[in-house]
Amino acid sequence: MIIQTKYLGEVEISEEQILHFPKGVLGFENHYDFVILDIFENHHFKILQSLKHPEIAFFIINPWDFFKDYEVDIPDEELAKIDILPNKENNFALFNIVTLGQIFKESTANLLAPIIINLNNKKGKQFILNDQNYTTKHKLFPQGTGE
Amino acid sequence: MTKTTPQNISFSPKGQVNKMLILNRKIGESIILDDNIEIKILEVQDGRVKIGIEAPRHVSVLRKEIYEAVIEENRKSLEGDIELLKLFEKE
Repeated sequence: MIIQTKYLGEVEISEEQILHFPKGVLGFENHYDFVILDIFENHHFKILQSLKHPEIAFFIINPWDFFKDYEVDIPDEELAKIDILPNKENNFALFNIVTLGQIFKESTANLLAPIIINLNNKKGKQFILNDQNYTTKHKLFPQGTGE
Repeated sequence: MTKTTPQNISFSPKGQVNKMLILNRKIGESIILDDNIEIKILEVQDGRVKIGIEAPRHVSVLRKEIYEAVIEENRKSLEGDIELLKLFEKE
């Protein structure tokens, strides 16, 4: 199927790519279906695009590309909301939303609220960590890098 | 005896009416939500209230300002310009 996207114009996707967020993304509770799109020119970033609303699209990263020491601790009971269960073979992906700055090197990642996708059933959810080490704004490029 | 007063009727953007239930509690008294969540007033001092919450593990408990910070950051992240990403490929 062909979908309208915010940044990449019309893009053809397959049904298997569609991710379902039963509770939406925080602040966007009515947006349930998303796809992840590659950015041809920059493979460190991807786009989490709403299927039905082209204007809703988030830039995302694999946090460990930028923050090697990032630690995520989410209670089993929370993960169970997207059917990630202990004692089960789970297959999941984790990423964080990025807010691009006016200048690229001022861009930040929201390490407080990672998004996890259960790749077995394509369910996703944004979690809020109970960890005082993390905030919604961590510079992708601490001073002196990324120029 | 707990008195309940439906006050603070506010209209959300969708036009629904949200009624806030207001209860008076003393130190050491509790409120039970949905049979298995207990919210207890532990201490009141200088305008600060210490609250104890006992809830099943699947119930997420968050300070509202943290929740709001995440929502605000999500909204803000929509303003990004993809041209920046095309220009700057990270090493």
